[in-house]
Amino acid sequence: MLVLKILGGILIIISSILIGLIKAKDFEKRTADLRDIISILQVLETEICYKSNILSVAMLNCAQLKSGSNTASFFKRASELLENRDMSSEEAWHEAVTKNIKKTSLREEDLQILLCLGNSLGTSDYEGQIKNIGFIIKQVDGQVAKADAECSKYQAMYRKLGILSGIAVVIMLF
Amino acid sequence: MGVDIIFKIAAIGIVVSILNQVLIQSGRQEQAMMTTLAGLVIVLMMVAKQIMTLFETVRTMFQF
Repeated sequence: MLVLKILGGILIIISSILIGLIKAKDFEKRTADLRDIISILQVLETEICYKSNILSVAMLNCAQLKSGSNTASFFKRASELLENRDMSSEEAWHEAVTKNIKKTSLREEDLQILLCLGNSLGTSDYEGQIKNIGFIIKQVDGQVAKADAECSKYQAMYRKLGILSGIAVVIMLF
Repeated sequence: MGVDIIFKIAAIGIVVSILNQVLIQSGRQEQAMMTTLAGLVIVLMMVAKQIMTLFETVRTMFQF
């Protein structure tokens, strides 16, 4: 009986430690996702500027370059939508982003910045595009700095919280 | 009754104070206060149970 109790207690502590770790990892992943978006946007800028590919091909190339991360799924979906259906590029981007944001660890404010990108995508000439993408990259840069600060602050906190709440629950149950 | 309730209260006290410090350090003072209050309520509930038993015992004592 005592062995079962101890085993149960250990299981509770391990699971709450894991919950703390998962929450802490979410902050890390947000920073990584934001950095990914910056690099993909820079590749997109290069594609538009130097290769003059059409949007759907450019986006597909970008997505293939970084096919490991989740943020590439925005670009892949947007390029599929542009090729298959008759939507404007703004709508295609909007739909791709809102549908796939759940897969990444990005938040509401990041979503708004990404939707901003869609506003002038495919509308102006290529210099306007470059300026637009450059502007969005700057904004995402600002978010990366903020996310970094948050990350370091909250990561340690969530880990400790996990351990402590596990211990608290076990003590109360015994 | 035994000593294990005393140990439980002491352990809850320690855990609550560590949680308090961790939350204050990371800037969330309201949540720190909430956890302190929660710990206090839990300990009060445990003590209240014991007091109930005490009253019952005293009552049965005086009824012979």
